[in-house]
Amino acid sequence: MTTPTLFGRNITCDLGSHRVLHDVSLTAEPGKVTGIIGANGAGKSTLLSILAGLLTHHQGEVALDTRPLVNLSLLERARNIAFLPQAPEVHWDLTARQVVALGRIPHQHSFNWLNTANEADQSAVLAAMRATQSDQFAERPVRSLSSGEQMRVHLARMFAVNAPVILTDEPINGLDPFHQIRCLDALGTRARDHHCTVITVLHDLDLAARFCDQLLLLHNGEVLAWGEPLEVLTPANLMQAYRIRPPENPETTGLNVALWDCNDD
Amino acid sequence: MKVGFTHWFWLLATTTLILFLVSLLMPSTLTGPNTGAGFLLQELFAVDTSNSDIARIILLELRVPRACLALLVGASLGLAGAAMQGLLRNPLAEPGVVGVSGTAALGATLTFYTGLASVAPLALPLGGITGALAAVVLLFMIAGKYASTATLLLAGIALNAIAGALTTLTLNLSPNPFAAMEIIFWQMGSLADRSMLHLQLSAPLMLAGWALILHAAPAARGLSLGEVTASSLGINVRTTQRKIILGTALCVGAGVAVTGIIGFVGLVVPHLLRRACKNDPAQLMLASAVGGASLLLAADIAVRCIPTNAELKLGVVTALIGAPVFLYLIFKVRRLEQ
Repeated sequence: MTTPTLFGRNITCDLGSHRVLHDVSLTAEPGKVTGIIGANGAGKSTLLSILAGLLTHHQGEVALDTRPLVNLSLLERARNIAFLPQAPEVHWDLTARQVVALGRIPHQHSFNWLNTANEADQSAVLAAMRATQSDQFAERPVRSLSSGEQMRVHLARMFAVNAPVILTDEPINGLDPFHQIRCLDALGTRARDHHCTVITVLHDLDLAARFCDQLLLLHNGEVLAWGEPLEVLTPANLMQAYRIRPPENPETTGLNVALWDCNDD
Repeated sequence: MKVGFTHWFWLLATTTLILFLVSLLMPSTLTGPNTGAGFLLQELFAVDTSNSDIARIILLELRVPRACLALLVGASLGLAGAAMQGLLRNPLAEPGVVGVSGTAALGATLTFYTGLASVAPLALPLGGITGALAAVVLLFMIAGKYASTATLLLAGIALNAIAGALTTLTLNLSPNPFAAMEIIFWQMGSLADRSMLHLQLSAPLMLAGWALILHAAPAARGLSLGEVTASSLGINVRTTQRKIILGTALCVGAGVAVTGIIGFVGLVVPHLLRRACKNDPAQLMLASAVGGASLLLAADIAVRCIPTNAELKLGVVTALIGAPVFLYLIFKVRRLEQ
């Protein structure tokens, strides 16, 4: 399967009487990590839901290469776009392996009462768990795991779909630095080694600068800046989008942990 | 993992089959102690046909409807209970939460009140089924096009409350104490004296309900990850929700219409089997259907065995077993929350 480029063209979306997005366009290419950043309420999550095809009452178009998303069947869309929502839920005491296996639903026939998995399913689950190092707690109930471990399970669930396009909404919220870096590393690996199209909403600007190939900065539902991280993350843009200003004494930059690497050996 | 479930499933299915045969062939107080398996089998296959008519009548008019209804209603309650829990992702959900059992009971009660029940024997189950279908129509009218699961649940609670109030009003205004007694006894739930007609009337609706629920069962597995993730996996959450609610309304409504209210089976059975099914919502639905059938057959056999002056009502027995389990569930959930 060749990896499609994801196009969002002139997306405008109203929720109730409130205009959440106005004329937003972006292009996410295979092999690249595209970050969506912006203040709370800037429209990041809404945009991601629209790109995932989960929110459909909007103007403008989302397309995979030349195929508009609205022309895809639910299953086609699910096989092409894997989505990880903000604060993913797990009900019942499902084990990590069971949760990851749910990522195979788009590939299984709709009368799979007994939850049977074929070889492709099993190897996809195994590969996804290895890629996120969640295989060590495969048989433990997900709800008994730490936040970091839970996020690894959810990433594995999303990878198990084996979709060429991957969308995640603030995957590193509430994680320690190790898991933040590990998580974004896994997304980056997915983009480069599996040639996936990865889009992620992020709040941490340092990590966004480090791990994303291109950034879309939203401000009040409109695109304030779009391009390579250093072009987007300018003091002027940040002051406008986030209502913050740089320190008066720029030498006190602290440890800058965002640039550190994982050390698990 | 699969082997474990299949193992459990066949064990349950065999138990159900044995209980079904016991229910069919055990002697009862009504027809006398000598009408057990020996008598029935001997007379049905005997060369001397003097007693075979009696045997056939006992079997076809009394035993078959009773055993089949226990099987079908039990399976409906178990299946619908597991389906509602899967849909709402809540172990305290039960088939009645969508309001159908309340309105089915109201429909049946009204046939007692108007005297229709004593004129035409089919008026009672038909009234119950009409009540259940009315609930479905109202539910979907309230739900509209974009109802969330929470809205549907609230609508179900409201329907139950209205139906309960109207049922009480009917009792309040009932013309004589006997009519009121009849209503109260009917509501306790029982399988005694149900005929082939009851079975023929309710079975197609129950089977249609099962088909709808089972069609949606694998999708309910995806709902374990929440509605957003489920739809990202290609599951049509709205269709799944509608199938399960309509299916529940059909099979539980038809069941309540012929048996009266049989509580707690739909709540307790999925809870008891959840671990054996490794928490898989779809497998739990299959297992709960068989488990519900087993439990109701067993409860009905118990009702027929326990010597009391008035026959114990089935709904009373299931509630006596179910309520303590319900209480235990609440304590367990509270412990988890602390």
